[in-house]
Amino acid sequence: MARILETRSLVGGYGKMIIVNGVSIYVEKGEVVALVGPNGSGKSTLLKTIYGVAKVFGGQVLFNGSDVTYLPPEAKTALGMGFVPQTENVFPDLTVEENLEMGGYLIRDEDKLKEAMEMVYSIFPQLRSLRHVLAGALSGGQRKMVAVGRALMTRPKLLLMDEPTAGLAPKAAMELLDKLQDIRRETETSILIVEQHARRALEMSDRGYVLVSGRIAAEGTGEEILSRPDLQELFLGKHG
Amino acid sequence: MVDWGIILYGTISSLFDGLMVGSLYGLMALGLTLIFRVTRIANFAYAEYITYAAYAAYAAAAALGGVVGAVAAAVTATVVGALVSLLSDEAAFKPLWLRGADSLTLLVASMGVGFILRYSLLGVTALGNLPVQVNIQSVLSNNVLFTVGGLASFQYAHAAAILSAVVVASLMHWLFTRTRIGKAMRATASNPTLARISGINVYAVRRVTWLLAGAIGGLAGFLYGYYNPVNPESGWQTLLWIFAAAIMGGFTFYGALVSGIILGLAEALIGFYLYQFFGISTAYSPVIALLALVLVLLFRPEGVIRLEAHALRRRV
Repeated sequence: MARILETRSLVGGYGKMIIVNGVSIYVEKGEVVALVGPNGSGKSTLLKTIYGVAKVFGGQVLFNGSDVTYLPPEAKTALGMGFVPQTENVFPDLTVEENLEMGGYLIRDEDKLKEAMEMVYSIFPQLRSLRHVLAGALSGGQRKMVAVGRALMTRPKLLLMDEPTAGLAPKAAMELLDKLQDIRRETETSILIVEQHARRALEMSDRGYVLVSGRIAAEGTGEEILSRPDLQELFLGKHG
Repeated sequence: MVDWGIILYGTISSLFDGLMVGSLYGLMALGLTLIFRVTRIANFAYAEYITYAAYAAYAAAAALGGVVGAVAAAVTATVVGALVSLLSDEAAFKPLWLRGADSLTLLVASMGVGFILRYSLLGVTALGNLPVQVNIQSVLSNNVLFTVGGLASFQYAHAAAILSAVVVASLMHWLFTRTRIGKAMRATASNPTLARISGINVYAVRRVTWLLAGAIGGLAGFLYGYYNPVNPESGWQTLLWIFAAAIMGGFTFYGALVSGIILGLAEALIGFYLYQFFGISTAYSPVIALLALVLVLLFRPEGVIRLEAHALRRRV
């Protein structure tokens, strides 16, 4: 299978601070890959470095086999990547519909834009009735739907998601994770997901990586990682 | 003895002038509002774009004369305003913003940019053959549209100012709510990082914003210079009213327009009555604008017009 995303010894961070320290991972076409690890291990920074939001200090990012390491975020979106940041992931001063429109900013064709919007509304039917509400006035769960919906507008070939369930009530979190299965079916998108519900995320993923202190500590299928006793406390331990 | 004839014609005349001056305040405030809404800069240098544009308009009008000169002056002013505006962002504000400057730093920087622009112009006019004070009207013929009783006159400049302000405010509102680039401007203001992730070229959006705001200021500069003598400090001396209109309008486009007109009318009418009935010099009329601003900030800090607030309430 072809790799849609690959990082080679990627080093990234902010300012002069290195947080991601030589990470090599890959995502194959159609795969869902989970990125888990303790707080502060650099999961979010890894996604931001891949997308060009954080600073790249070294290494390489390959998308569909071509080098995109130093491309700005807008260029990566144009190539077919998508990103749902963990925080500040909607435009609070724009309506839900305008948020989706901005997600589809690169779609110049009016009909295709409408079509993409219908696709998002079919995945998140709640959003249709909220379309004229400002995103800043939504509840946490609704806002996450807008955030994910916005990123889906361009039907990205690869979607990076940073803790889409963070801050959600357990029921809403599980619903959203279930939706990811729909998204995968409907859009044939490959997904790299950072998740706080590590066990749940690994169960629904094809493979996973464990990131500790900015380095990959373990990798394998969900089952392999979950069955390793030395990693148990990451998922079930003190902060289970 | 009060002469009621004078009061009547004076009132009509003040209404005309107040409407025109107020429309100009409103028009000028539109550009300031645009910059503030997209980049969060309270831009004190904005007044200089107006002054530069007025001088450019004078140069064009003086060179060509007549109707052609008037049109050329308007176009030149708009272009020069846009370019000076863009240049000030590229040279000062954008580099600071990229280094993470906050609103206060940018505000102080804008004062510095204003100083540089203002006194460079003074230097140029002192060295070159431009008069330190220009008056576009003196070059072009002054056409009266109609008069009331032969005393209170309504000129083309009145009509042009009022029309321009209304048309530009409507256009800006339409741009922000209906067009792709306008929504991208709001998105960029709302969350610049997410805007980039959405594929928006935020630098291009920024350039369009500054060009547009400068063009609005430039057009206002032409209209202002058409009726008033302009010197290198004219824009700076008008800045208080521009900010007052923008703040009173709650940094919305229609709000800025309505606030500007309220300011202009209040100043003209109250100034006129104070002089007629109490003999108080019209030189005190700027106090009216200040007073209005203070009252608004005290009692309606969200702006006199709650158009936007109404719109939001309906949406939720």
